[in-house]
Amino acid sequence: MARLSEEELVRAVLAGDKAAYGILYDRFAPIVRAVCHDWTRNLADAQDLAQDVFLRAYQRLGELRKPESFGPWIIGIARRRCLEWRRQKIRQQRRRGVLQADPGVGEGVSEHSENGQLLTLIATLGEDERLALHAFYLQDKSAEQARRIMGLSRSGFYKLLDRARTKLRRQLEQDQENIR
Amino acid sequence: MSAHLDESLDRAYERFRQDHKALREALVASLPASATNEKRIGAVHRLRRITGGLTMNSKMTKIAVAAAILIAVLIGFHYLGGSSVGTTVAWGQVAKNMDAVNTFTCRMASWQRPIQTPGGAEPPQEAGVTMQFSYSDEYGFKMEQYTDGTLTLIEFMLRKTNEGGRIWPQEKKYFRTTLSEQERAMMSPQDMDPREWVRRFLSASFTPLGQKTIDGTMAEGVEINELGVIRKSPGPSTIENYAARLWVSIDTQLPVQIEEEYTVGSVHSGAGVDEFQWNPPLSATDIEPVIPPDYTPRT
Repeated sequence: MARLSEEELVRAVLAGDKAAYGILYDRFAPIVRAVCHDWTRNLADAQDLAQDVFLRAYQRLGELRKPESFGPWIIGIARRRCLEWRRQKIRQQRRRGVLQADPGVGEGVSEHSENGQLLTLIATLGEDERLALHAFYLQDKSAEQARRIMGLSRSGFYKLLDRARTKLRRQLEQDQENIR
Repeated sequence: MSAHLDESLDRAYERFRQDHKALREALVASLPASATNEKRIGAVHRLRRITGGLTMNSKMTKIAVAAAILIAVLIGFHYLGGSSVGTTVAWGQVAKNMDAVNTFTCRMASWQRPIQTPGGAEPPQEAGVTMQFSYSDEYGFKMEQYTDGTLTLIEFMLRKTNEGGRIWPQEKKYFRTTLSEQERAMMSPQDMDPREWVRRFLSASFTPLGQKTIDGTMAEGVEINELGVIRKSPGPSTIENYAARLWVSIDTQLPVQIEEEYTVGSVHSGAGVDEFQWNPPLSATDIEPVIPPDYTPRT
């Protein structure tokens, strides 16, 4: 079952097989959480949003025209859900009489570990660069799977991944310089 | 450095796998019984806008027109050939006659205007939207909506192929899909069953309205003022001065007009269904609209 393609899994879910949706969840929940984390900068919120994204996707699975494109599709849902989350945050802050320029930044920090700092740095990259890193490192470092999620050619994906990693490396070096 | 970065990223990304198993179990446990096939449900939602949405800006117009359509659908399936010819309507017989209707056509229209002030006699303002409705037990239904005399929307449901759809002539767009049995049933809830509707009308505490001539036909009417008797979901809870009236031909013992009116806030709204033809010969081509080849699908 776990070797089934996304298309086969989507069709199985539509036929009533919840376990198939569990497999799709295994494959894509980490990357959806990463995408949500770019917005929330907080793991707990990202996990909550990702759960909501998967629930919505399940309810709207019949809308998916190309079942083989489940990955890009659910990432699109995640982006929209995060936008919604951000608007809610702005409204809440307005009600409280507080308004930040970017309600996502600086929330729920407690990201003082090395891992947390790295993820914070990733969140400063461009959206495509972030997604390239998420897709590669959360899809078993499979360039083929990652490029499919992004809808890029293999060379296009490698170029983007390389750019993201280069920027990240430079930023890390800069941070180390600043510490010295 | 590159290898170090790679390892650091591996470690950093591990956090997105944190609690995965528990989250997975929670998600799967919370899933509905089956994934919704939105292609089909979406179709039903769109089709149900026949009675709810429509392409109008005014909320009140929506309510009024929705009421008109609903009444038409309710009436829709009734009666045929009552035999009584006399000077009054045999109300008990009317309900029985409904069951014999196989096809019908009618016109639906709605109106609204500000509540009349003392000394100001303002006639009802037509909402500018009318609908021509055709129903067949065998083939389904078709509704053509006219806004200010221009055909703006066609809705249809085809029984033989279980298909439904909408056409927007001005935009040269259409939507067409296959409906499941369940979805077809959703489009014909009991609340919209004409026999049930007439039964409700006649079993309620109604007020006789006497007789009057409607388009040359002598008719007798009854009125109901209790909200929620005819329809369980008539609209916003702020509805006041509600009245639903049924006018039946003394000659044919068939409905000739149904109307509903009420006020919401400072607006008086109403909807009427008339120009009935009962059991006209309708064929499949009368119900299934032709979608011109230059129209494109709307998703």
